[in-house]
Amino acid sequence: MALGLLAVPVWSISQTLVNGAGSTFAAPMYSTWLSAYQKLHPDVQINYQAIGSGGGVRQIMEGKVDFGASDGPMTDKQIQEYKDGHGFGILHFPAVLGADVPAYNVPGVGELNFTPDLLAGIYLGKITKWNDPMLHEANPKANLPSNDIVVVHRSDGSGTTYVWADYLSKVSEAWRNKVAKGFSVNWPVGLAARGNDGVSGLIEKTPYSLGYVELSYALQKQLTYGRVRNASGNFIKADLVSVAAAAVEASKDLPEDFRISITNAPGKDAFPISSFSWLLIPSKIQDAGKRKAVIDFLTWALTDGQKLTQELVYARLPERVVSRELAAISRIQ
Amino acid sequence: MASAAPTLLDAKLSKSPGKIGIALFGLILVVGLGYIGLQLASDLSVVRSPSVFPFLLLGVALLVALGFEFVNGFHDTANAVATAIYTHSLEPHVAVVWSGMWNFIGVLVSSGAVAFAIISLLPVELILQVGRGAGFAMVFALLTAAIIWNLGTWYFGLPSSSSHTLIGSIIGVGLANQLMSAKTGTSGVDWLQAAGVGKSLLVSPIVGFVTAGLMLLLAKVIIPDKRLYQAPEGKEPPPFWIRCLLIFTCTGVSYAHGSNDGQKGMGLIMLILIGTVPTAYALNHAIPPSQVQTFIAVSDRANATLSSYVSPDAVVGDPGEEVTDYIRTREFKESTMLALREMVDSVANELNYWKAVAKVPEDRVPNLRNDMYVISEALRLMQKSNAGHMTAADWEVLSNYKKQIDAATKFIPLWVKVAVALALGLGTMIGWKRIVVTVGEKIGKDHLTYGQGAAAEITAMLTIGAADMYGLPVSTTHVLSSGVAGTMAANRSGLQWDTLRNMAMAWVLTLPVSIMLSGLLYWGFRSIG
Repeated sequence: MALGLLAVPVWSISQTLVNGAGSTFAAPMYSTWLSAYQKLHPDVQINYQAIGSGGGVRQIMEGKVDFGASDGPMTDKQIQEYKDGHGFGILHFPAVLGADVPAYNVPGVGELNFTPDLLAGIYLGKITKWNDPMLHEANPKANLPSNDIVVVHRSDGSGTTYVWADYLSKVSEAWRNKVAKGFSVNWPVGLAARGNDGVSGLIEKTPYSLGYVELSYALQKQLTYGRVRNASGNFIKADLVSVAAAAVEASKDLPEDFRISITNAPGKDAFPISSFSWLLIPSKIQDAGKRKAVIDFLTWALTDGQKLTQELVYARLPERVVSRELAAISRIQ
Repeated sequence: MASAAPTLLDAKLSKSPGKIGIALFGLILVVGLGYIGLQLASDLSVVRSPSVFPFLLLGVALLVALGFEFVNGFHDTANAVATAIYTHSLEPHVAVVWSGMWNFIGVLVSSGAVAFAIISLLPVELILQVGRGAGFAMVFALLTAAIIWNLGTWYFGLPSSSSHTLIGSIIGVGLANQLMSAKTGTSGVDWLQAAGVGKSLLVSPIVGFVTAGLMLLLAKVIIPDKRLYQAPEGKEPPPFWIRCLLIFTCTGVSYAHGSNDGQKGMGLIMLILIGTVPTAYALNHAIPPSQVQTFIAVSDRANATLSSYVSPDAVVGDPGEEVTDYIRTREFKESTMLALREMVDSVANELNYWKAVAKVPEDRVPNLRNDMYVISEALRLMQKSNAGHMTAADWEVLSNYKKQIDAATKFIPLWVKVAVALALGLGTMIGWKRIVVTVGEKIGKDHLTYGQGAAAEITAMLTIGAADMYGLPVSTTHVLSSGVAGTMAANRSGLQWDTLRNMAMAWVLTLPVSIMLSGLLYWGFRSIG
């Protein structure tokens, strides 16, 4: 997938140009949205660069783009720093709803079950073989080989990593103490690759590897991915229903600024490594044309745009979240 | 100024060179070439390439790089042998072979530190993509520009500084690179280097002139031996102790030249090897697997050390780009520390996974090498500017770690040293004459006396030592030539102003001309390729 400059330039005299950058987790969705939106609004050109959430947060903080996109929320201190630097705030708008899935390449092995302890153990470097007793216990019928597990993770500052690490921090004390959550974490083991594309590619060509990618990438690359045991004790496969379930359950207490983690969500059908992906939008946009374009695009993405989510296997945003967001758009001045 | 009229030297050269010397050198040459061929063949046997193009490129690039050393050799010999020849301390043939041998030895025992210091002056993004067009354009432009200017000044018998030429060429490439890229993300020129050359232009002649002159005057007071201050009569060698001294300084200067200047080409040859055949040369395959375990242990400590300085609110995009930006701009940000920690973590995990350097697969080698190079450069710059305000104990951990990654990336195979040593030694023995004549006969109006030769040469040797120790911006060539002039002035012998004018002009022009040459060549090569 070419996720560089996504919008096709259409030249007209008074074209408004808006630049955004960040998340690769949500990039396929933004790509589809932007080309659909372009057809409706030929006078607006929105570019999106899928450079990873870490890069997206950096670029919006440094004022290099008009909006950022991230699957991990900015920290309080980062928000304060933004305010101090720019004189106005930064807003989080949940735009995409997706999931990290454990994807792997083990010849002759199909869908596997993973417990939270298994995933934490593998990423902590404690579980190193595909035939580890814990893997057997979760998958009594699978014919597991004795090969080493080749752990794959992101090299760049990543929201997909944030979601993964945030989940492991909730389910594993060892992970919380030793690694913790973040866009860039101190990996105990593994080979690194850049972007969701890079990780998918590395898994695809490396036998006995395991990595985490956003669901749509696993589907697009036709990678095998496993079920994960959720907080209610059920092994759940990531799909439209289970990811939406996580969002519905967890977002009943939606905070004012929309910065909410929905990993390890309650609910018997919820997929536990689900997450919102946010658009990071300055609360003040000086250029009236850009302001109008950003507001209009965001409104469209939250309403009509939601109809396009399913074909890419991103879940629809819950109604409750959408209506709260539409009300909050007025905060963009 | 190519000498048409017979010189004193021609008279001296009527003697045939020692047959034993020629035979010995021939033997060294044959053995050396054989060794180089065998090593190269065995190193390249791991390389699987569908086309011969990389090998062809490698061959051409190696020839150009060795050509650079060759020309460098016949340019700088005069520094070592001019005084020894004109004081009859050594026969010319013996002197150049002697000097060539000591250059050879100097190169062989050199550490490679200077080689990599030269590389670090180049635009970092070009080093990281040395396997691609821009990287090759850089190496070829540098070498060709330096060869052209060195050959030109040599042809006219002008003793000009090879170091200034190389630094000028480096600046030229940096400047052209900056001008050719519209975006701001490219590194430009290290103007500190240019300023260093500027200072050297002022300092070296003064140091040489004054020190050598004063030394001669002082000697006249302290050492009353009259023979010392007379021009040699006939072909008599100087008094024994003076002869020893002159031979000793000739040896010292030759050795120092080999171990310092010889390395300039080595660094560039390594860049060429890494660019053309990364599988064989990007990482040091000589590191045993047991060493990899040590590396990982040291890495873990460095990781923990850096982690203690990482802010929880720092955020990075691509860590490699982040740290490269730091190297380019020298702006240390909160995120640089995190990016560096990420890179250290990732290099350690990668090596831990493959277990041995030689097992890292072809497609991951260039990235791993670049990561290691970037980490090492960043640590070097951070230590210099005390970025991140780390404690001395922490720096100790990080320096130890840096040594480990340098061992994996900043290595020079022995055959490269042998090749450079041969080229430099050969150049010394072949092209020495023109500049030696200038230094020996055309600076002063009188023949060089023993004392003058000794004073100038001792000054040159002392400044080489001092320059190494105190980082003085001096050029050996400039110091020696001015030293001879200084002793002439102190002796009231009178100076040949024509020669001095030409020399001064060449010295001043070296920097701008080599900047322009290499800049234009870089632009040309980039436009073709």
